[in-house]
Amino acid sequence: MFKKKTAWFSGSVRRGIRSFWVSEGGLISRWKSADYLFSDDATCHDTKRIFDTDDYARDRVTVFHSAFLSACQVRNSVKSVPIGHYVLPPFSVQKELKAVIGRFIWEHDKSQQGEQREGS
Amino acid sequence: CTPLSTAHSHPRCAGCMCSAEEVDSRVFSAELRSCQYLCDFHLHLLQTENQLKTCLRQHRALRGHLVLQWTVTRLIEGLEWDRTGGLILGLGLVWDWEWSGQLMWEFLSSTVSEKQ
Ligand SMILES: [Zn+2]
Repeated sequence: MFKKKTAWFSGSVRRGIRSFWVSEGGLISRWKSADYLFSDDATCHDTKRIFDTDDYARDRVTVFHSAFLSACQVRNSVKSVPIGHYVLPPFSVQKELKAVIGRFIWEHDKSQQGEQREGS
Repeated sequence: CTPLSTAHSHPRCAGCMCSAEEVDSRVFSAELRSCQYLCDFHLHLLQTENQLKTCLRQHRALRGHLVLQWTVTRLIEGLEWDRTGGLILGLGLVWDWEWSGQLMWEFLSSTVSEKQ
């Protein structure tokens, strides 16, 4: 699924997700050079650091929630999961957005993940 | 379909249409910015992030400016007064006298006003 693609994972992402990425042919790299950046927590220091860079301020980096990979795993497909629904913006942006939009998609997924983890 | 996409999707929103094979962490923001038909979610996301990014860019520019100012001040403080004056005069000789006289005057008046 992720052949020749590189990803960076925040410390907040659970290990199972990382193993799934690697098992599907993905590579792990530094955040500066990775094609995809995944985190589960915008307040985690390694993710916050990215939001404080010139790359972020100049539209050159977007962090995605790892729930995207969980969804790919469940559907066994990348194409059918719109990655744009899994954007993980800085915490202050999340707060403002939630007031207008409601919950993020990965907040819906969180309860499903919890059930899966308990089940497995 | 996901609860969020059914509630907010615009049929032509790039944020909702693009798959991970088409966009990644490096190009997603630019893709969103260039799209004319954004859904509520992606439009608000773009607008809210824009505000933050504008703030961030201003802060970073200010930080850079302060560091530069600090370095120049340190450099001038580190050099003795006659050597600084000599350096400015020397530089003035290379270019032109009027410019160095002006600079010397400004430098002198600023150090005098600082001491008062
Ligand atoms: Zn959208």
